[in-house]
Amino acid sequence: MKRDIENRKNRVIENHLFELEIFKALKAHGYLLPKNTKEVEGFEKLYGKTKVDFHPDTELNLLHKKTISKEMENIDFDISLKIAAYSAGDNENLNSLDDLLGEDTNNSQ
Amino acid sequence: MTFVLIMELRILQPNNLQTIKNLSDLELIQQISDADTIFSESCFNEFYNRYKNYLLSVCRKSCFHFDSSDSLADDIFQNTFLKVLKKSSTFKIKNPDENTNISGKIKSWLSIIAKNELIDFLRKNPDEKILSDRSRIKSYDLEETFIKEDHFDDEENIEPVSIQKVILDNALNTLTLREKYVLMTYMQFFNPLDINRHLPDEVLKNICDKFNIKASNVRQIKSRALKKLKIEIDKSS
Repeated sequence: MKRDIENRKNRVIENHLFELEIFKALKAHGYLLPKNTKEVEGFEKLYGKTKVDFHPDTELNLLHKKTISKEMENIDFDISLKIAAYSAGDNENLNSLDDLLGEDTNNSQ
Repeated sequence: MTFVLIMELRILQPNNLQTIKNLSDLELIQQISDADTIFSESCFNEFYNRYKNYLLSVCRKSCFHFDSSDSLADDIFQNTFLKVLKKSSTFKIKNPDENTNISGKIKSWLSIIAKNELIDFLRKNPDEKILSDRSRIKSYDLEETFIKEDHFDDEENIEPVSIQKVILDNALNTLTLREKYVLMTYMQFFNPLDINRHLPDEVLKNICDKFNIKASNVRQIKSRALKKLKIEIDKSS
């Protein structure tokens, strides 16, 4: 009985480790979006900086703001993206949320 | 009576175009604003041209294992740039004069926005037929999720990967569409520090609606997918 529990526990740990390996492999091989400059570099090493073929429907027509629909006027850029702006590729310098908000307010003049 | 139609021609002068091309990436972002000026629009277009290849590449790769992957990638690509257009003023870099890899940081920023868009999609859209619905663009509050993820995102601690790309690709090709979709969805929310983390309720519900299955089946599908991958990877190794 004790051995069964031990075996089950080991299987769970093994499965978790394998899931972690899959996650790391997906990230390393470009199947998950990069989150910092190191991962961006890794992605570009894999797939290069070559030109991508753009379907005409993919290209944005942004010559005139009027092409943007009224719904987009209400886009709310939430705090997570402000944090992303500070921490993009530079996580060790990420301040506390209070510092971030304080600095953001001061710079918004 | 004679009516005279006066048209205001807003043409960017050639020397202004050259000025825009000479702006740094950071200066471009600073010039993109909500102001309805041809200059800010031109700055955005320049920024778009500089980064569109990178962003579409990462969008396509990250959506590769979802069905309707090209449409999904295109949607996320467009939504990301629309977010940049609307709220570029929120992008800030500390000590820009000392920062040598501004382009890398911008790419990271774009990727994070794209990831949020992908997660937004997974939360809201069980059926990819409603892709390209512009009213879907509203952001949702990812604050809690993002702050938690930030703890493990350590640039200095990149461990070597044990599974080669070709082996991973071959293994992924043995999965059914459903298994791939479920697994890749879980991977978007994966947190090494919280490995038993469940999918958000809305995401789980969308998977159930999409494949007409129960919530309890979703975890089983994920486990089955991982088992299949393990068998294939062990075979290849």
